[in-house]
Amino acid sequence: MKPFEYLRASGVDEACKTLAAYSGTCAVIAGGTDLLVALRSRSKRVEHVEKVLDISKIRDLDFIEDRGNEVAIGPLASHAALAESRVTRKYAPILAEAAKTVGSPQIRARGTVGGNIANASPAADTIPPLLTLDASINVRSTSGERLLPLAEVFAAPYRTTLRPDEIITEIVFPKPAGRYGHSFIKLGRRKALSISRMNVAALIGTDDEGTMKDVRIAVGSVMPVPSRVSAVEDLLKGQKLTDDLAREAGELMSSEMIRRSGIRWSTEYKAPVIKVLTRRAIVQAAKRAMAETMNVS
Amino acid sequence: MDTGSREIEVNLTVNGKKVTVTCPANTRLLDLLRDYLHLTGTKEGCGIGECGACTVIMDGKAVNSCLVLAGSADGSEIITIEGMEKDGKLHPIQEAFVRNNAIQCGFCTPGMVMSAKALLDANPDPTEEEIKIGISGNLCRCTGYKQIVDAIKEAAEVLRRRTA
Ligand SMILES: Cc1cc2nc3c(=O)[nH]c(=O)nc-3n(C[C@H](O)[C@H](O)[C@H](O)COP(=O)(O)OP(=O)(O)OC[C@H]3O[C@@H](n4cnc5c(N)ncnc54)[C@H](O)[C@@H]3O)c2cc1C
Ligand code: FES
Ligand code: FES
Repeated sequence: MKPFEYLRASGVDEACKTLAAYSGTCAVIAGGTDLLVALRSRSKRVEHVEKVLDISKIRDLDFIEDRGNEVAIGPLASHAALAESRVTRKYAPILAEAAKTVGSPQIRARGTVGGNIANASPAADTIPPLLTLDASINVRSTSGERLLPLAEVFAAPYRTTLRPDEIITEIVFPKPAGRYGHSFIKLGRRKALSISRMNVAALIGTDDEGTMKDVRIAVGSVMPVPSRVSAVEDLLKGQKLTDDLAREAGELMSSEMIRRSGIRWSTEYKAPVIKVLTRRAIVQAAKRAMAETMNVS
Repeated sequence: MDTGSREIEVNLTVNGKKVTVTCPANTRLLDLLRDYLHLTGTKEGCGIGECGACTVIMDGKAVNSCLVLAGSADGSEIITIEGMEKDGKLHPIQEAFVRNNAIQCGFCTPGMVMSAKALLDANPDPTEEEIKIGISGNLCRCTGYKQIVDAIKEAAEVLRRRTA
């Protein structure tokens, strides 16, 4: 294990001050399920780390709250908490379902949603669901607070647009209101333990006749960074889903992947697979929306 | 504001006993248990969260002790495999493992037993699927898992009868 100094913050202000003082050499640790793996292998990503600031004991950062029209989640909420919370299961089942597929019970107990976002793995499982929920994150530093859409957080694989002195203090999203169906599909190497190669999150709102009014589709490990795919969303919006349309959406996803990511060694494998995953996710989400009888809030 | 240190003091409760350990800041809970408290029942397999051999119970939940910093375990309550037997008698989960031949080389067993305990504490009557999920973070290269699942099923029954 790489040697480092250990610091602990008991509140957000204290954490911000510490980060400001040691900016550039100090890494935040929450659950540690990503950071300790990196420190152990002395990965290039943690070359700069001389100090580790433990935020895992900051009680104020561990919550999942129903705030009327919004849901707010503290960065320290664990994957286990996301999977079990009444609030996420009711208003963001897509997020609860995704969290349930993360790693193993041990990883879900320690791994946090804030860590999942800040680590910015292309395959992070909570990110595409949060993108479909139109989530934003609140970040804090000694210079203040800013709210930024999650879609603007990812710069490159394992790189965010956050400054090294900023910490995520909250994740918020509006509750989807009306008739919605969701689907989260991931392709893992092993059932229980896998950093997924690809995942698809689809959240579809329909009217009573089944016309898709609101279509939100995000993918992980497909585009250069986790992102929504508006071309596919626009193809479906205003339509009723048919088998042909779902297939066409899958094909469009695959050509969007090639357009945005270019042809790579993995394209030959990924292109046909993402087609199928996308089609399945859309069909499941639309079906669930139609089966939803009362979801008016 | 904390200015950081290379040596830290950790206060925690291990198997019901309060202990204080002074160790380097980059010590993992796994090292604290094995090298400082000499509780070597907890094993290191992969060191990166994949195998579950290092599983212990921390504040009621199964965790990979190779992925917990000693400092983060400060103030916690830890149960290791050494904390399972009572008055010289094996825990019903351990007995069920023995009866069902769920142990071959034994390397995975301490972690497997701790995952089983965390599962049964939270869910005393799990389905077979729930048992499989409960131990999905624990690899066993010998048994093929069936005997382990059977052992946990049997242990659940014994424990339920005991509390009934
Ligand atoms: C065996 C194994 C299996 C896994 N399986 C999966 C899987 O299936 N799906 C998946 O998505 N992930 C998986 N992971 C990755 C990991 O568990 C998750 O990404 C987890 O959510 C990380 O959270 P953490 O709290 O442990 O992060 P940490 O390791 O504590 O931190 C990760 C990064 O985020 C930063 N950070 C943490 N919190 C904040 C904050 N509040 N503000 C700013 N920066 C912050 C840290 O500085 C660090 O750079 C797996 C990991 C392992 C070891
Ligand atoms: S040693 Fe901790 S999971 Fe393998
Ligand atoms: S008994 Fe040998 S690894 Fe499980």
